[in-house]
Amino acid sequence: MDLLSSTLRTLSADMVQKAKSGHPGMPLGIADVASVLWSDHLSFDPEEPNWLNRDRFILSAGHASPLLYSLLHLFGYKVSLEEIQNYGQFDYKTAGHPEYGSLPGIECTTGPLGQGIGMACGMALAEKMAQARFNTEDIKIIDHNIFAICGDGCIMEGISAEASSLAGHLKLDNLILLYDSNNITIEGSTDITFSDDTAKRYESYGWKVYTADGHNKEEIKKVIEEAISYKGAPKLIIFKTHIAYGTPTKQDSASSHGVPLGEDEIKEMKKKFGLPEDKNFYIPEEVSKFCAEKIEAKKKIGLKNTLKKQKN
Amino acid sequence: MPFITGGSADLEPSVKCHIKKAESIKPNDFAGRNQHFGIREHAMGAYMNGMALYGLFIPYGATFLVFSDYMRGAIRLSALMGTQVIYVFTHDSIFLGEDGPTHQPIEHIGSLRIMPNLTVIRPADAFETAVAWEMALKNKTGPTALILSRHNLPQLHKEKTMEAIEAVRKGGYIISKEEKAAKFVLIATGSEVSTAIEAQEILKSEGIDVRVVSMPVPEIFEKQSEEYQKSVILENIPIIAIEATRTRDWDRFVKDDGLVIGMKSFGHSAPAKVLAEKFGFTGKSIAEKVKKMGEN
Repeated sequence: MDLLSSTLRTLSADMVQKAKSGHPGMPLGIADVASVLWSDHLSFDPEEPNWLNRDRFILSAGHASPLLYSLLHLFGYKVSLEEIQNYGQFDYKTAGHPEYGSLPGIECTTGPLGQGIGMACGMALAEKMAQARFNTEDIKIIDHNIFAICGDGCIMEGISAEASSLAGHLKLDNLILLYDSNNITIEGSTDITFSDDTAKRYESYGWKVYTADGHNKEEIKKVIEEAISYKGAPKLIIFKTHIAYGTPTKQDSASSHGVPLGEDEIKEMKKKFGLPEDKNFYIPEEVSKFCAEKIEAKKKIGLKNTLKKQKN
Repeated sequence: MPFITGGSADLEPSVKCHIKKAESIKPNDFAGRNQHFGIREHAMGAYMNGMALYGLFIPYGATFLVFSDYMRGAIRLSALMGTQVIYVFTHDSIFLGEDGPTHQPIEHIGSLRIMPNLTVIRPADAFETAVAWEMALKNKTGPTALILSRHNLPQLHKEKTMEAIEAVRKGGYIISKEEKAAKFVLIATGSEVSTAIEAQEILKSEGIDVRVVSMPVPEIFEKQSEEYQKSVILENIPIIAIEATRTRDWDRFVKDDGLVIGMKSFGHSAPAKVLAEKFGFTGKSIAEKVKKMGEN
C-alpha cells in the first residue's frame, strides 16, 4: 500500500513536470487517503464503468487531476500509460482538469471549486430517490456510497455552504466528503483568509464530522470504515495533510500548489520512496500486482457477480 | 413521466413548477418527485447536474431569470458536460413590474444565448411553451433554459396542429402573416410576440402590411436551410426586432434599414403596463415607430 501511494505521487509529479503545467501539491498530499479509499473501500468494476450500483468517486478539487488519472490507470480503467505521459496535451484526454465523458471513471467535470461537492450531493439525492423506488426490505438493488475529495478551496467557495446545508437537512447519509485540509492556498497559508472552524460549521449543518491524520494509513482506514457505517447524516472527514508530502523542500509550501516541482525535487522524492530516481512514469511490479488483486476482489462484488446472483 | 423530478429555489407559488399528484422530497422520505431546494440557486444547479449524471432522472429547477446569475457556474458545467438539465427561468423581463431593477433581467437572455450547448427557448404563449418542454425533454445532449414571463399572455395559436408544432421546433416561423405584400417584418420573442401582433393590427388599419415572426430560439432558426430562413425573414425589406432585453442578439438579423427595439437601462420599478408605455413596448408605440420608418 505504501508503494502504491508513492507511485501515485511520482506519477503525478512526472505528469506535471513533463507538461510543465499543473498542480502537483495536492496529489502528493492526498495520495495516502486516495490509496486506502481505492484499495479497501471504493466499490467499482473498471470493465463496467457505468455499473449503476458502483460507488461514485468525485474529485471536487479537480486540479488534482494527475492523481485521478493515475488511479484510473493503476486500477484497470481504459486509461493508457500514453495518456498519463501526455497530460494536458491536445490529442489526449488527460486534460488539465477532469472532463466528464472523456475517459471512463470520470463521474463529472470538476475544476471550478466547490461544484464537485454540489454534484456529489445531487448524486447522493438521486441514489436515495432510486433506493426509494427500487429497493425492497429484503433486496437492496441500489446500495452504495458517494465519495468526494475536496480541498480548502472547495470548502471556502459559497456553493459548499448551500449544497452541504441542504444535504444535512435531507440527511444524505450515503455521502462521504473527504477534506484534504493542508492549510495552503495559492497565496500562502490559509491563515491569511480563513479562520472558520470547518468542523463546527459542518456539525451545524447536521453532518457527522471526523478528523484524522491524512498520512497514517491505519487511521485513514479506520475513520473511513466508521464513516461508512454511520447512518443518519452526511459525513465529513477532515484529513490533516501536508501539501507536496514527500518532497525535500516543497512540502507545506504554497509554491507546490500550481507549478511543477522541478526535476531535482522529484528525484529526491523518488530516492526517499525507494523508487528509481532516473526513471519517469515508473510503475513497480509490486504495485501492478497489488492493484490487480484489488481489482479481482472488487469484481467479485461487481456487476457480473450481481447479475449472476440474480440469475441463480 | 416518472423520471422527471424538480422544484424551485423557494419560489414555487411564483414559478408554479409543482408536479401535481406527486409528493415532496423530505428527509428520510425520497419517494416523491417535488424538490425543495431552499433559497440556494447555485446548489440547485449543482444538485441537478449530480442527479442528471446519476443516470435515472431528468431534473428541472426553477427560479427568476435574474437569479440565473447566482447559478451560472453550475449552468456552465451542465453545458460543458452535456447533462440533460432543464432550467426554468420565469419573470423574464422588466414586465415583472414593481420589484424593480434588482429583479428585472436585462442582459440575462443574451448572456445565456452565448453559452455553447445551452438551448435557450423563449416561448410566446402556452402552445409554444408546451413545444418548448417537449424540445427540452428530447434534448439529451445538453441543458435547456426555458425563459418564461411573469404575466399572463394571450393564447396566439388557435389551432394546435402538427404543422404548428413543427414550426415552433424550427426555432423561428411566421406566426401572423401579412395580408398581401409585407412592407416590414417584425421579429419578436416571448411576451413581445403578442405586442408585435397588436402593432400589426394597428398598422393594418392604417394600410401598412407587415409580417410577424415568432423566434423562440434564434440559434435553431439559424440552423435551418437558407431557403427556409429567407422564406420567413423576407429579403430586401426592413426588419424590426422586438425583445425587452439587451438587443445585441438581434443585430445579425436586422440590417441598416431596420430597427431593434430593446432595453438599454436596468429598467424601473412600476406596474408592468406603465413600464410598457415608458419603454415603448406597446402595440401602439411599435406601430408608430414602424410608420415613421415607412415615411423616411
